[in-house]
Amino acid sequence: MNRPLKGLFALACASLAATPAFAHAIAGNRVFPATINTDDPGVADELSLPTIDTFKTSDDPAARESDYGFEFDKTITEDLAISVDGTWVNVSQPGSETLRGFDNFGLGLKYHFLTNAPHELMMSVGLNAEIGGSGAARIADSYTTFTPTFYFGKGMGDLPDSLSLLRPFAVTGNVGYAIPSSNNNIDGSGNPNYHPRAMEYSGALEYSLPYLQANVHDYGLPNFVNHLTPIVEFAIEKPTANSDGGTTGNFYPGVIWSGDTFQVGAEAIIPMNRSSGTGVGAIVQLHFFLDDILPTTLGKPIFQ
Amino acid sequence: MKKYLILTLLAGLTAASPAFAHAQLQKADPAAGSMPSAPVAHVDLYYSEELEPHFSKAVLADENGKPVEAVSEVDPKDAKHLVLTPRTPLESGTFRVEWHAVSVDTHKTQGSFQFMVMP
Repeated sequence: MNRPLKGLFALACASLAATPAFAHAIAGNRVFPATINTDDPGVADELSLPTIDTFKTSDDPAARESDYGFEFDKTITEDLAISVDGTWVNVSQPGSETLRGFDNFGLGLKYHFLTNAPHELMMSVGLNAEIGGSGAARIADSYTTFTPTFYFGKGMGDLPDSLSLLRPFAVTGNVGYAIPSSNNNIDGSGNPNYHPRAMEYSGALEYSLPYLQANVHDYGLPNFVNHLTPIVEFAIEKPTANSDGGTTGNFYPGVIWSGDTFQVGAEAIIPMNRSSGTGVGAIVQLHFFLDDILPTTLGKPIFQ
Repeated sequence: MKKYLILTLLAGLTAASPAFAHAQLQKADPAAGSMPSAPVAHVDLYYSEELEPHFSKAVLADENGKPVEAVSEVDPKDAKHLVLTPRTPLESGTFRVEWHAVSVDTHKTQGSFQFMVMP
């Protein structure tokens, strides 16, 4: 584990003191759930453990990749949070040796700067860094990639009464620009391997049944159903420099069940094009709301 | 050993007491979007968590947005229950409830809904 990561863990552990916890990503009547592939627009104390996915790559023959990841987010202040994430990768391809190991660990800094409650609008900005060399050499990049990112979320609760059944809809999105720490490195044969720059887009369209039941119309649905949010996400990467590859991405249709202290999400992974993957994969996530589980210790900002 | 530690951590997190959580509206009577028959003497709001009485409140307005005089009170016998009592029972029309709740661990939530009283 590298020094920046050790420092962050030490900081997280040092935050064990009692102070009221703060909210999830809440704007007015809208609670933006923690979606799997699109970071929600708020800052919060939360833990995703585990996030598990499996899919086939676009290689020929296709390799089966399975990932086991985690992410821990910790608020520094009410509007500022840091994060650390890691993923264990397992790749098996017919006729080749199975590759296993950690991908590069990630660090993030996120600042929430806008909430408009009546219009259920929320915005944040952040900087994410994939720390080069922190993962297994055969799996992870040797260089660091910095991705400044813009996050937003908009609930449709301000629609007129005539469109009230559309009010449970919300959209969230991330826009980032991935910048490698170096343009290229030289391989063992003396050839340059170029490090791509890329635009990264992700988004989610969600229909909140909890919102429908509490703010629009209670249809008397079973309690389990009233905790569901059907969702469709997408994630796209478009190289802008140092790459011969084209745009790749996936669609992720699925559903989130939200409880008081945790949520569970499950989505299919559908490649957008042949370069993005082969066939349909799957991703599931167990996500904990630390501000509700540990409101006086780990689930509150370090500085208030 | 590592697997047991992770499973223990997850079990502990999932089994954590729900007493520390955001107060979500679980049920209302009249319910959101409902059309109860007149008169409606009070509006009952039931939450997932206990509320801080001094910081949790609901207000009532008519279809024009004009406030309707009503008393908002957290049930002293059930801190998950907030009662909104109009000065006079509601006889007809569309009414809007807006509520703000603070759970006992200081988390804030809010919501609003409409119902139509049928004469």
